[in-house]
Amino acid sequence: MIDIRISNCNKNYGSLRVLKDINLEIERGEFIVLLGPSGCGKSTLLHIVAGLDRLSSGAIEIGGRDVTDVEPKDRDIAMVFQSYALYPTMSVRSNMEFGLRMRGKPMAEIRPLVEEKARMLHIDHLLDRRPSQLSGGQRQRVAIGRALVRDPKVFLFDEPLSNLDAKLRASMRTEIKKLHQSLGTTAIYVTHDQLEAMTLATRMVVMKAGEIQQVGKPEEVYHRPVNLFVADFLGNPGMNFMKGHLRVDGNRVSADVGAATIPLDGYAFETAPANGQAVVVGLRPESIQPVTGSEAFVLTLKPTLIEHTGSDNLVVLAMGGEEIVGKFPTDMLPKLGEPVTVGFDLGRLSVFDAQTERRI
Amino acid sequence: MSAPTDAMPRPARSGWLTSRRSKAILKRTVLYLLLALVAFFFAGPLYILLSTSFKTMPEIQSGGLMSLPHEPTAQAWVTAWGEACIGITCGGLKGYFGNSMVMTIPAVLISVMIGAINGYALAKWPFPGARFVFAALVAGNFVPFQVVLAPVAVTLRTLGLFGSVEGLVLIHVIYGIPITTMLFRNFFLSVPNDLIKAARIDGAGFFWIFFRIVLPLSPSVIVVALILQFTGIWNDFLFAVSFSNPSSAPMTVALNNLVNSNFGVKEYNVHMAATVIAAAPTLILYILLGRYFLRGMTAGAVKG
Repeated sequence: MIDIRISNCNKNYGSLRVLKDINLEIERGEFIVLLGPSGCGKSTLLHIVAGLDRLSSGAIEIGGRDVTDVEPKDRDIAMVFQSYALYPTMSVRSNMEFGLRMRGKPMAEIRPLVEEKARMLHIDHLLDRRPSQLSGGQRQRVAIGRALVRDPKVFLFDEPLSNLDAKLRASMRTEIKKLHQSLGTTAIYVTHDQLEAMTLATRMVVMKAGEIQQVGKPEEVYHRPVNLFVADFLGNPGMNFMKGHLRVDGNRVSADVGAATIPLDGYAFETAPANGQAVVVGLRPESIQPVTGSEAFVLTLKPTLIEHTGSDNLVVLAMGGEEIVGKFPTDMLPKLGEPVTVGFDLGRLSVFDAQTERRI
Repeated sequence: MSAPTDAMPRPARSGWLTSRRSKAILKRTVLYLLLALVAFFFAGPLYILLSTSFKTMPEIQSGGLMSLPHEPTAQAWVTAWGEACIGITCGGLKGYFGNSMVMTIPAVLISVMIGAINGYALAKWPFPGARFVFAALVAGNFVPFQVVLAPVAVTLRTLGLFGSVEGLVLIHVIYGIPITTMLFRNFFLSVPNDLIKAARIDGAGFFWIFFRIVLPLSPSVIVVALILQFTGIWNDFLFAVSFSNPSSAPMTVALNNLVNSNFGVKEYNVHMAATVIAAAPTLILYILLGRYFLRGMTAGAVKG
């Protein structure tokens, strides 16, 4: 069942086109993450779904109802802001009660509801404090609690964890995920943090310059990016790119990337490969490993730099005039300058047309 | 004792002026002298006002402007408040004090309220033409009142409010709106937009957000606006003398009439008492709310 439908949505600020013909359908219970660099229009799209920004053309449907011209308060949504946006002069309790009181719910019903959600988020001991007396993590819990008590049809999150430190961010991320699993409410979550996107999303939407680049399950977007932008944006360290040309010889296809010729026989081409076509071959660092024996394709390369991250070693390898990065296990520590034999996981290759930058 | 301590005098070669401690003392001395001078400049006249108002006429005529009253008496105050002759009536200032209150309080409250709502709308609910409206209001701050006297007179006459306290209230409200609007608008710009958005999603409308979210954040700017408006309207002479008649005249006009009356002996003690009475409300307001006033004036600067 479609819960949110965004059709042909455009947003212009004067001559600046912030959103270009966005189409997106969101099923009930999905956790959609909008991901992209700053300025890509992801927050604007969220604000338009919330009704805080008006769209220049197009339509928004929530729960089968056209809400394009409906006020935010009548859209049955709740939103969590990056800045928390807690009402500074009110206690935590009043903050959480505010939305329900605005809707004329009797206090006798509001009280137990607020206390229940507060217990759920472990903020029940903070109910009588002011926001200024809370830590960042506590404030964000209150902001989530304020959205929760409303029991809305859709949750909107606008980079809710960006102001928290790394450790707190990770634990809040887990909690938001648990929360979604137990409530099953449809959610749209905006972030520029790919780790948040990968871990939280049931489907993610990668955006760039006001356009949707790719929509799909996190692992699908990660492993089968539709273009160079998506491939490059996801992953840390980023995907290795090797420029070269296709060689089509009967049924056999390979990519000549200068220092090596990579066989593409097992690669599922989306468009027919042409002989001599300029391409960029992409392979993620974790798909470049020291040889264990069963690999189909191996190369012997010289390490030029090794970075220890703790969980693994990032090994920079010279390949022709360029460098590629492999992610080695910690017990596989090559020596600088001494050639190592590495295997490419050919099943994880991505091949892009050099001109159109699209996956082929 | 072989080791020198800080408390010991430094070698005589570097004179006392060059030692750091002496320099600091010198700086302090100059600073306090300047402050004392400024304080005297403002407190001196107030002292003369108060001491003279408690003197008797013979004592004033015997000279000694700076001396304290020999036999303090509140007679001048009683006269100024209830008996002094202003124009042709001899009922003292109390009626005019009442006029001033009846004029100032509603004018202050209404102009601050409207300015707050205007500023809130301009800062947080941008509408097409908002910039123009704001520019026009800012320009309104620079219109000299002398320029508008004639048109205002005609307008008040047309409305049937000429010479009434209501007419003065109306004029003061209108000419107070530009400054209060600007004050509130600039303050409200520092209120985070996310707060307004969160409240809108929570279901609050324009006025709910104003009264429940925005105004509670603004006590300091409200106090600034109240003090500015109260002082300006209470002390106004030009509108008061132009648009009032003897029965609706506020304090400023009455005080002028009292002090400038040309017959009889000039009763300086009564004049001084009357002046203090005229200045008292603004003084009291500053003493009560001055802390918030200073806080409000600097709040916007550090919040960013």
